[in-house]
Amino acid sequence: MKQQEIEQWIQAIQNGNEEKRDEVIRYYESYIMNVVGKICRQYKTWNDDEASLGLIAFNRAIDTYQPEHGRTFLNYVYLLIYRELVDYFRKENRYQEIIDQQEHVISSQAYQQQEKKFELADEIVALQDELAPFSIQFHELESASPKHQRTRKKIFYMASCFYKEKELVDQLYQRKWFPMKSFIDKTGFRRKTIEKYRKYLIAVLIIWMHPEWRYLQSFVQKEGGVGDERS
Amino acid sequence: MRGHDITGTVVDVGEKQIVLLDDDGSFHNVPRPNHSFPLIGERYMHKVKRTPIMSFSKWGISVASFAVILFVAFMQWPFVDRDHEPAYLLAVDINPSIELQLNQEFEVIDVSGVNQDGKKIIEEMTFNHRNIDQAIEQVVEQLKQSGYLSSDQKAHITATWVHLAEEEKTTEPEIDQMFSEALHDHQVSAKVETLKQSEKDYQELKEQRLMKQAVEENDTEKQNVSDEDEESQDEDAQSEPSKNKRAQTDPLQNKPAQSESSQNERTQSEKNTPTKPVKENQKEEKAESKNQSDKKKKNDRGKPVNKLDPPKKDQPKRGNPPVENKAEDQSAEEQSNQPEPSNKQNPKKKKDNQQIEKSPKDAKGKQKSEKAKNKPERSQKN
Repeated sequence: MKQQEIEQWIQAIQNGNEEKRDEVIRYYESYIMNVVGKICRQYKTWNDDEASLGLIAFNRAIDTYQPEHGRTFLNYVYLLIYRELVDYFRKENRYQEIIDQQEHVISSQAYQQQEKKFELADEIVALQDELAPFSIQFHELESASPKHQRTRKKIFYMASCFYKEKELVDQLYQRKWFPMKSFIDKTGFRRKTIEKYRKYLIAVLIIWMHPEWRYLQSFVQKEGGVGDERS
Repeated sequence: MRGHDITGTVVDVGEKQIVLLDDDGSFHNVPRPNHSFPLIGERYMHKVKRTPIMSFSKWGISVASFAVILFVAFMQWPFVDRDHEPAYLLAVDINPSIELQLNQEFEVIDVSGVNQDGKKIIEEMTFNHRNIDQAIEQVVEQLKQSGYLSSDQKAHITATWVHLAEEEKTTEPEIDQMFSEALHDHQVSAKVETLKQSEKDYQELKEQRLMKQAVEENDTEKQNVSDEDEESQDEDAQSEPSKNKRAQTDPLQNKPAQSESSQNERTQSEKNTPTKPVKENQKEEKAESKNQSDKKKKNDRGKPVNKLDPPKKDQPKRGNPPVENKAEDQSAEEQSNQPEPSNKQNPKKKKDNQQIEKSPKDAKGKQKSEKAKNKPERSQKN
């Protein structure tokens, strides 16, 4: 989700659009859990108190987020959840558990780095959201990833072939289903190969379809560099 | 990727694993350490533990399993190996009788001489795992060297093929052909007769033969006492090595001694059909016994005539080894020779001899007719 888009949404929520609030919470659900886990240094589920506190903190972040202060939304969310949990641990006298390694004071040098990290996190969350309709989860992508340099090249070539066909991309995007048959008809790749790397191909194509994800683009560079040929 | 640290951007953190997006665009699932929980978007390095190629436990397991396999294989070995299991028996009878034990592959695994001559023959041969055709050739060669076979005299060879392992029906080698080839190669002539027998029949036959030998030995002892003076008179053409022996034993009865006798004599006897001399014999004896026996015949029938009767009952219909034939042939011949010296002496004594002599032969059981004809003679004895 683009920064501007988030700001618009949050603006809408702050103006009283409760439907959007649910939507945003659902969208950032995994991020909330990730931050909670990070601060607790433990894997937490929605059954844990910390997760509820994180959700409360996130809710408050939506209400109080002010983009003009210069923080990205996710950075702000992180900060609020961190404070919330630290308060909680203080209350529970478990502060020592988390305090030692947490460097919540961000130095000015590290600030840029930090911001970049949050932007990347935002992109990843967006990608996860995009992959959800294809019922693809991140951990499934390992087995679908090409293991060797040569296969990787081949898959990327395949993806670029697919990407050139506007019709196919539209089909993929609208039906949330890989248009296997028409892709084979058009390019003549072997069905077995495509089937094996299907999920990875979808992931790569989705990243390519979102040229606004600047950081993710660098991971899956098309031949001839990043660039949106379609637009 | 194995053996290298995996560095990437954290994409997802689960309970057990972290999903990393590698810089080259591939995803990796790495296990999550207990007290580490990276944030999405962070760089994360997974240190792959460098484990030895094979841990000690794996070594142990592999070595142990290998040992088990070896052990099992070793246990199986004797059962699998059929090379040392006798499957066939080939009995070769000329006068020296030899038994060759063969395994499944028709390789000779054991050789034994049935009688004295046979033992002598095999002493000079080695059969270790030779194929049957080679073994036969060697036997023929050895027989030729020992003078049992020659080119001008036709010998009579009987080869009896005995199938020990009953369940397996394999094609049997053509012994006939092997013999004829071997004979041809060594330029000797002999009449070869091949027979096939079951193990049971063969064992019975062998027992009979052994018994016969034993009886003959007994007989010779008796005769040695009575007929010592006869021995020098018959049979003139004799080979040197046997002479000493023959001086001690009666040539008429002692079979080994006979077999050592000169080839001429032996082959002559073989030329005759086995039945013919026997018939002559019978006629002769019949004539002698006619007067006395006819009346006694009926009485005697019920009684066991002698101890050799039982084997006679289960006569094999075919495949009498030639040893027996020959023995009879020879004895028949000798008997025909006998009258001259014996008549001069005491005809009655001679008669006794003949009867004693005859009885073991009956045991061998030549023909049924013969059996019937023999009865009166036995009754004479009584």
